[in-house]
Amino acid sequence: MQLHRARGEFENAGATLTLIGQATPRHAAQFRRRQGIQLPVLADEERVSYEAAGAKVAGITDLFGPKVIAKGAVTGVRNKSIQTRTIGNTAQLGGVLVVRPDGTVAWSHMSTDAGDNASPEEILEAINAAVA
Amino acid sequence: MPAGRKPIPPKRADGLADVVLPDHECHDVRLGDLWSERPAALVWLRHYG
Repeated sequence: MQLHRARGEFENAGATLTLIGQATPRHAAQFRRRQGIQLPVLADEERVSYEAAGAKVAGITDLFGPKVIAKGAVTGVRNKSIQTRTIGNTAQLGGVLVVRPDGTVAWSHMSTDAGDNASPEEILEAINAAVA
Repeated sequence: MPAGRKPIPPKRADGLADVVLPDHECHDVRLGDLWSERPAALVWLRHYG
């Protein structure tokens, strides 16, 4: 998990980094163990925070379009990993918000399809800009 | 949000601040506490796999 490997950089930049997933705390704990990550993982079974963050619920082409399939294949080969079973609403996409202490959203990237994810570098750049 | 619509993230996180979610150890976390003292990056995962 790329974000986990970059967590030191987030801490050095003076920011917190928190993951939020669907399903239960038990699933969140299993995810942490399987991936070997130390980041906090919150469980939003009702997806209340997903909706409040403006995260998209995908349509068919957002999940299975040619671009998405191709990107998934490249990512799988690069990371030597395959996607396992999706827990929760399979159409729910994710994203990132960088929030300042005053509550303003300094930066956001909400996924438009299943292959559209912000990189740790993009997120870190946004954090550094928010801290400055 | 209807499926397929373009995501519209908020300009302020006020609507998220009072959301309370359990963490992986079942401890409740109020989202607003995550950014109350320093910037926070919140990453919503599509899946756990």
